[in-house]
Amino acid sequence: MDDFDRLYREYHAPIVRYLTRRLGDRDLAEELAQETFLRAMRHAPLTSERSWLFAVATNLVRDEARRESRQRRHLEVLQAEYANDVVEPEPTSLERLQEAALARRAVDALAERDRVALLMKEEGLDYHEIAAALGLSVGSVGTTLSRARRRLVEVYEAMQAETQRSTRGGTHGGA
Amino acid sequence: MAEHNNDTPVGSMPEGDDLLLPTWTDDGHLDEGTVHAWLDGAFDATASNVIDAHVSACRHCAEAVAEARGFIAGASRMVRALDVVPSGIVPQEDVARTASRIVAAAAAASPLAARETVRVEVARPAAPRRAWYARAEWRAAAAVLVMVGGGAVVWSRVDSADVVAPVVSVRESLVQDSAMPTEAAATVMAGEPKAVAMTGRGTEGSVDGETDRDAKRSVPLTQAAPATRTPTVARAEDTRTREAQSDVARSVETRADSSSARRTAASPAAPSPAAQSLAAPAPAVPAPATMRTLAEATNEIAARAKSSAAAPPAVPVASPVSAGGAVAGRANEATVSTSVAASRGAPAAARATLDVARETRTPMVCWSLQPAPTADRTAGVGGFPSPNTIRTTALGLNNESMSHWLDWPMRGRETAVLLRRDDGGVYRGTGVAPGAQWTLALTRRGAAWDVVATTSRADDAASVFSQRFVMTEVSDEVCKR
Repeated sequence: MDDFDRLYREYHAPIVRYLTRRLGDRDLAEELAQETFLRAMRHAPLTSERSWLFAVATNLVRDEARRESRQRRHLEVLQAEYANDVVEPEPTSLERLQEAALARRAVDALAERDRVALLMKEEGLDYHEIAAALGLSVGSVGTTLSRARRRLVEVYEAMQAETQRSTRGGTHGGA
Repeated sequence: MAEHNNDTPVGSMPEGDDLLLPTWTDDGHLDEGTVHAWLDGAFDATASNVIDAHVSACRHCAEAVAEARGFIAGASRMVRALDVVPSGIVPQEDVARTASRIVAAAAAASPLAARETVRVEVARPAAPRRAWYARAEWRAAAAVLVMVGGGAVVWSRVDSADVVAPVVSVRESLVQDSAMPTEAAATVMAGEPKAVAMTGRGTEGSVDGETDRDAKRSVPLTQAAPATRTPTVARAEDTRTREAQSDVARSVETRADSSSARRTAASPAAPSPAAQSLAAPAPAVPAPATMRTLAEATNEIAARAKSSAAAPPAVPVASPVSAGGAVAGRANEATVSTSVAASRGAPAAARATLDVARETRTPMVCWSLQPAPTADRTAGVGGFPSPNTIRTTALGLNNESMSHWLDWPMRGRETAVLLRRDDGGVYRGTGVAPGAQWTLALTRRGAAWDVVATTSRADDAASVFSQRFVMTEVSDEVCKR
């Protein structure tokens, strides 16, 4: 149990963050993170804790693919509400929300493997862990990440430019 | 998608595939994955040193490394942006509450709402006060203003050989009236005080003082000073007024030098030989002692009149009717001149001439001015001085030219005459005088000018007096005589 406590304290936040970035929904990310750690509790001692946890979390996300339409509708609703509603100011500024929305769209535009690898790398997983989590060779992780980063930046910049053009044109440029 | 056991990580780490080695392209450069791996610290020390050495030596790879750094930083920033995720959907009740607040705020700021709440209070008009111009000091100043601005335009009697410009007639009653504004009085005949009114009703005769007799009897009107009185009219004199006049006279004298330069608009040139007196052709007329600008004189008069509590009200010089129009049927109506000093017994100052040339170094032209052989004068009042010579600045022959005429057509002052050439080749200029207006029409006749001078009273345009002169340029020595 002490190991589990240690495991939870050490990896819970990164897992949640990783899942949040993957899903765009913190609540769901929390839910899946809980599921991940539950599975870890049932599993035999882990050899590669981090990679294992992230792998399990990735699988859970993949399993949620069957409910992807629901998640997309949910995200669209969230986006529509944020764009049209005048609510109390959130702690996060509108600009940051718009940037987050753009980033979300850009990340979603990546291939699954590229996206997952990038998110894992951002959570601190090394090339071996990523390779282990994704079932890749270590040598291919670099290529995967390079491809993901280039693609992400290019897509984001393209979306940002399109948003700015739409705003200047008088159309609603909500993300 | 095939089911899989979530407890088993997807993929497995190939055995022996735990060594990361740099990968090169066909042209001997680092591939992009290797660059990213190197920047991510995925290589061991040995491989990292090899790559480092290559990057240092290879410009292409160095540029690839720089580009990769940018992608890594940008991607990292965007991933962190994903962390800005609100927790949960905004409750509808919150939306409604906020929307209601926004609507209320917009309604409060609307112009329609403003009109409903703002009351416009119209200020009541203030109680009528006495008009400012009715005050004594301003009336006095206004009187002087009209006179000073016009200068010496003296009405003369029709039958007078010495036709003068429309003279400021003096109303006897005004002189005798203690309330008469002596500042505005032009000339008071000795023993026969006359009020000065800018009426142009100069039927009483010429007062320009061409004769010595007239000069002794007349007290020239100063442009800048209130009317002066001879001692013989002390009975109508107001002591304080006389003092005010004296003060002004002194100021007039002292300002002669400084003001003359300002008045002259002609270009500087070598001064002509000294010409002592413009009044030489008309010895009886005290030559103007000085020239002052209208503004200077007016301001000073107004200031002194204001300070003098008992200063008599000014004569409404522009209103011949109010002045009664009753000119004393005497000869030598007021002559407008600036010889205040003369009236005070300062011959030197009195004979000080308006020597624009000397003061302003403006080249002057001496003209012989003679009535035309066939004098064409309308019967009426007024007239123009007829000195033998006059001086002007050079008369231009352009379509429009400005020249300055000394002591003519208005005696005692410098008159700026703007001449415009019409289609017939006649140069025409106009001007105003106290209670009157004048026009000049100059036609070139060889070396001479045919001058038709016309004057009319301001209050009676039909009272036109026209006179012809021949103006011929003569030697400057003539003007010195």
